[in-house]
Amino acid sequence: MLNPDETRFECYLEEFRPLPPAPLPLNVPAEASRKPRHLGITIWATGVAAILAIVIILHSRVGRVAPAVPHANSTTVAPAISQPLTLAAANRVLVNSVSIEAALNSLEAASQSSAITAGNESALAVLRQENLNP
Amino acid sequence: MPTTRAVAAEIEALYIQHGPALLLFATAMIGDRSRAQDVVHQVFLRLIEEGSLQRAANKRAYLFTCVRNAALNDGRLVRRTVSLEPDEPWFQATRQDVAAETSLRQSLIALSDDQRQIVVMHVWGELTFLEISELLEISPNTAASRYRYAIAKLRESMSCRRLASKATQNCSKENPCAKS
Repeated sequence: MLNPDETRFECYLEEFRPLPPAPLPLNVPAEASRKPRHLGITIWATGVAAILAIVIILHSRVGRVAPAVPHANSTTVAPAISQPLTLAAANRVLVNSVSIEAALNSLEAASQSSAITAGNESALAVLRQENLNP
Repeated sequence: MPTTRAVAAEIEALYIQHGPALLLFATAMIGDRSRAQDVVHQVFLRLIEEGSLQRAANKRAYLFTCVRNAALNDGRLVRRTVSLEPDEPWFQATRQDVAAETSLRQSLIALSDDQRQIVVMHVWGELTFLEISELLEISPNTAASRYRYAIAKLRESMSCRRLASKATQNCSKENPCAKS
C-alpha cells in the first residue's frame, strides 16, 4: 500500500513518542469519600467524651453525697441549722440531705427553733396579730 | 468476578500503557492539552467507577472510542475559542531535536481533522484500519486511503518546514512544498 519511502517515513514518525499524561487522580475521590467518615468519627468521639465527662461528674457528686448519709433507710435525718436561714444554707441542706422531704423537714424545724433576740419581733407573729380582714 | 481494586489496577495499567497515545489523540482533536488531559482523566475515572471496560472485547479500541466521544462532547460544550496550535510540545524530544518535534506538531495541525485522527490512531495508537473504520464508522478502505493521503501530506509538509528552518533555501516555485 505505502511505497518504501512512505514506509520509512512511517518508521521515522514512530520514533517520536507522545508525552505521558499526568498521573491518574485516583486519590482524589478516595480522599473525598474518606473526609465525611473522619468527620463522623470526630463527632462520635466528641459525643462519647462529653457523655463520659457528665457521667464522671455525676458519679463524683453522688460519691460526695453518699458518705454524708448516716443511715440509708432514714428519711428524716438532716443536718441541723444553727444560723438564720439563707439561700446558701438552704442549698447546703439540700445537698447534704438524703431526700428533698428530709431537707424540707429540717428547714421547717430550723425556722421554728430559731430564737428571736431581745428587742426583735417575729414577722410571722406580727402578721398573725394584724387583722387583715376589712 | 474481579474486585473493584483489581479493576482499578487493570485500568491504571492500561492508562500507563495507552495514556500517552490517548492524550495525543485527545489533544489532536481538542487542541488544548490541559482540556485533553481532563478528558482522558474523566474517561478513565468513569471506567473505574462503572467497570464497563470488562465488557469490551478490544480494550484499546474501546479506550480510543471513549476518548473520542468525550472529546466530541467537550467540543460541543466548550466552543473552540483558540486555534489548534498549542505552544506545549506533544512529543518527547529524545532522539529528535526540538525543531523536529515542532515541525511534526505543526504538520499534524495542518492536516484535516479526520486525517489527523487517523494518523494518530494508526501510528501512535497502533490501531488497525479495520479498528479505525469501526471507530469512525467508515469503510476500512476509506480509512486506509485517508491515512495514505495524510502521510504523503505530512511528509511533504515536514520536509518543507525542515528546509525552511534550515534557511538554506526558501521553497521556490519549482519546489512542490511551495504550494503548501
